[in-house]
Amino acid sequence: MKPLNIASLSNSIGSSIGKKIVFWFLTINVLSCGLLAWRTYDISRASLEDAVQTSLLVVAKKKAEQLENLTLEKIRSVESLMHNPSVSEAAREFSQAISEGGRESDFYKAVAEKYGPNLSRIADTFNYTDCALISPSGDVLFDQYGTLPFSENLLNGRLKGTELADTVDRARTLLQAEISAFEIYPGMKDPAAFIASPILENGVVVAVIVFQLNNRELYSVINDYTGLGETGEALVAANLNQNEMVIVNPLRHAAAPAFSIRTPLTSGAYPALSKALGGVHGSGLFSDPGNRQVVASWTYVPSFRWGMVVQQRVEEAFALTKAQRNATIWLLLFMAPPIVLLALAVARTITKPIRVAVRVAKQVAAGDLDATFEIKSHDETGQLLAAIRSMTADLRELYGSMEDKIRERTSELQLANEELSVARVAAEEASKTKSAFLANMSHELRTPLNAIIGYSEMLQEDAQDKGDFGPVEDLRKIESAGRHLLGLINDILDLSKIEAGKMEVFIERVDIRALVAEVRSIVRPLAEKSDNKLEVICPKDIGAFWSDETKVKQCLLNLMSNANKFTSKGKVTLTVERNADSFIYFRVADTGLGMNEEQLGRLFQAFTQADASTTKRFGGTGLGLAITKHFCVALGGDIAVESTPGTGSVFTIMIPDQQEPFERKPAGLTSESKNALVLVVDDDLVARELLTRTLENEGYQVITARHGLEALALARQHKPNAITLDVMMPHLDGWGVLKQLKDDPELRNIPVIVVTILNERGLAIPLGAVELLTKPIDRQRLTSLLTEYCGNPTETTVLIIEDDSATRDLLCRSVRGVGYRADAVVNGQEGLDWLSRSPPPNLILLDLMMPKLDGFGFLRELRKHHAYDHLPVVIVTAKELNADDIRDLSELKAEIITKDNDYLRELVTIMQECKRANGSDSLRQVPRQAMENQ
Amino acid sequence: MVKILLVEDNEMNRDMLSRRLKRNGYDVVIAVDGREGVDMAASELPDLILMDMSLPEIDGWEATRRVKNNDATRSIPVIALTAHAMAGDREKAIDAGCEDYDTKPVEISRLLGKIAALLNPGAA
Repeated sequence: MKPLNIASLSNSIGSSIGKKIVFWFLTINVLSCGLLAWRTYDISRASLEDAVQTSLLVVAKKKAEQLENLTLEKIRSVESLMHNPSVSEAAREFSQAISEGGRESDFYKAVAEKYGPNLSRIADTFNYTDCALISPSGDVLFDQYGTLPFSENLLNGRLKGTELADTVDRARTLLQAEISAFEIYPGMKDPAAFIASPILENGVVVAVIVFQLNNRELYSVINDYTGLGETGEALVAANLNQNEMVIVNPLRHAAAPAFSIRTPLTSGAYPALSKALGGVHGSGLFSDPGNRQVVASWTYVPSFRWGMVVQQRVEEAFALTKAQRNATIWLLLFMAPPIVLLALAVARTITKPIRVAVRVAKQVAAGDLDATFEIKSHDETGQLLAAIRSMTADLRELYGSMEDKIRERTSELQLANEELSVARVAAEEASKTKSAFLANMSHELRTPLNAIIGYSEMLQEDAQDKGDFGPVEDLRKIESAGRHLLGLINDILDLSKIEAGKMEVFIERVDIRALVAEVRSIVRPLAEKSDNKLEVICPKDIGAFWSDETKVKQCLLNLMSNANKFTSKGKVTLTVERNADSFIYFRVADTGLGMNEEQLGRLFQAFTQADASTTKRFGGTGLGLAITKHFCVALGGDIAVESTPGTGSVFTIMIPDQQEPFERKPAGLTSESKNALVLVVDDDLVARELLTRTLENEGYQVITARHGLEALALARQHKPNAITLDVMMPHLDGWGVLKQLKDDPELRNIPVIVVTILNERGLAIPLGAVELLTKPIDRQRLTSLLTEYCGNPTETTVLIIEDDSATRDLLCRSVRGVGYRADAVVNGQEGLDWLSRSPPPNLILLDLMMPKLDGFGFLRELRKHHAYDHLPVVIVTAKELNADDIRDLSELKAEIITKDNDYLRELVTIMQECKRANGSDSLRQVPRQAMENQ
Repeated sequence: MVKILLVEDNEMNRDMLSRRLKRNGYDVVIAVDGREGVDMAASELPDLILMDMSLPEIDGWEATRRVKNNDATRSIPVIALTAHAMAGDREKAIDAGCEDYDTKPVEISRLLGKIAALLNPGAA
């Protein structure tokens, strides 16, 4: 295995998945190892402590047992002397020697020499330090080393009441060996314990033999520190009296000699000793008088009535525990680096293919489809990489073929564009040439014509002046033919210009009455010729309008002369009126031949008259009506005709007042109206009128635009709920309008229905139209589309904005109960979204406390939009409103209903009253009434 | 007698119009192109100028501008005679300083009305 480098590993992991894996791996490992180590340490510490305490107790008990055995052994050894005749004999002779000569007598000395060595030997044999014989009355008969006061009687003298005296007394009385307590006797330096046995002869006590126990023998048992280490020791204490105890043995670590330490039983200085003296055994942890922690075991020693404690300092007793703890810590520290390395390695193994996948995905996303990588494993990550590889390959192939196709298509398009542009240049050239030719030719044609007409007029005048009326009639015919020819040339020139798109419009102020008077004066001779009655109906206050006077005049002259041409002995009426939508209507009615449907269809086509035979009968080029229509359209107006064969015809031309055309108020739109507004865009007047009538019958408000630029201006000004859009229009065609509408964030959401002759759905829908209808329009389809996108125009809609579902349902039910349509959303933001995709509601019921966007925020946003400036809003709230709230709401034109017990009934009552008052009409009055009902 | 300067390049039109104006009691002087028109306006100081627009040398619009730029001739009213339906000709004529315009072929009675209106503004 190659050596691991942590830094490079860390770098290569990098990603957050890798970090997560490392983190969790380490956490799990460290936690489990730590827990395991701690638990192991804890268990072994507990068992070690237990073992230490047990072993100390064993030591204590063993010591106690040794002391007991020692005592028993001594007692047995002494009891074996009880019936010893030599001892009894010695006692009798010592007694006799004292009574006959005293202790200083030779006799006594002889007896002592005779028996003394024997007794000493016995003492030595049993390892006693002293040996004495006491008479049954308490006198000291013999003392090996003279430590006892021979002059004293044990039972009467100074030693009376001592443990020694009591022991001797018990031995001679109870006839058995007795052992004294261990204590310091008067006149003795070291503490001592004695064992006494009666000496019997024929069942009579002749003496009591007393041995002093060897202190060293006792201490060797007590102060045997085997297995107690450096700090272990034994303490033995005896009750001094009821309240005090004394430590009997010399201590290992204190300079104090035996019996030097006295302490009250309850002082707590030696709690274990107190327990031991209480006769029980046990183990535990304590502080010694030096305030060091010790572990101690205690037991009672019955023969001496001692309490014994065996103790060891904790730091030594538990040294192994500490060592074990340190070993555990070292083990953990030692294990940590391999675990970290392992974690990093695992993380790298897992994340490496993922990182490869991420890198490749990023490369692919950035458009680099040639990203390569190798797949090393066959697990899930390997499969992921394989999937990415095959996906990338697919994409590469797809892109490759797409790029090829695009290149191909682009080059085709380029070629087509080039061809087109060549063709366009050629066409423009041709058009220019044609226009120049026409202009020149008309000039060249008219100049001689002018002369012909002029000279024939002059000759007529000359002839009349001379009174020679003969040639006048012929001259008039020449003049008339010349004028006719001039008219034809002018018509052809006009039409050429129209078709070449060279028709120019010169907008000026037109005095309508003056115009009509001029037309009348020009037409009057024609009417008289056809024997027609000429009537002009024109309001005196009709005033002026802005348009191209020459063209309007030419249109009127065309219509009037036509009317007179096809009517004889009838009546021709010119009616002029100004419409509310600023159109000036000129209506020319005659009582002439009239036309049938088929004739009407061909009427406005160039070079066509109602009937081919007409030309023969009435003359004319057949260009008049075609030119008239073109002129009307160029002026933003149109021409319409109604006719009944045999009864007469009515031609109507509508010319708009071009004064500030975009600022005029559209027809039928008032600030009070509430129905959905539809903008109808069509350059054809008839189509426009038809759509307008259809939509108005359905209850929509309609505004109309004649071309693309006007459509955009009106859309921006009125923000209609829907737009019907013609495609082929002057100035800016429907596609251009659609594109600009969709590019404008303010207008983007207005649904657009494209209405056109060709089914170009494939173009309309991608450009953002909601639907495409082909002319002639299916009215039902149009109506249902508009209902879908604008709602039913005659329906009253209430928008409820409320976050609490129960209240929301309640409000919806109440609103529907009154017969209105209820739509509900859950917060202000959704309210705004709703408004952006729906026609304005008639009323908004608004909660104030809502998530995301509260009622105040919603209202502020709402009022920013001009279209919603006067939309009535009623606040329905449980919030305690302070003065600032009320002022804010009042500024935002919202009225308030407080959510008390009766508010719902109040709201319903208001809406019902309103409905009765206004039919299903406007809810505009609601807020005021709401206030009055407060 | 009222003197009218007729600036017209076409001989027949010039002859016809001058004769008809004379018949109606006006004194007519003739110029055949724009340059001559401007010169004669200054030398003859007519009461009114009838100016054809399509003239050789300098055209009618330019000639009118020159007439109107000369202090001596500025006050002389100019009636432009424009080709029929040549949209833009009329506007250009008004821009050049013409007081009125009429279209060719000339309707003599209409032209006489316009001449009378310009010569006797108070009587119109």
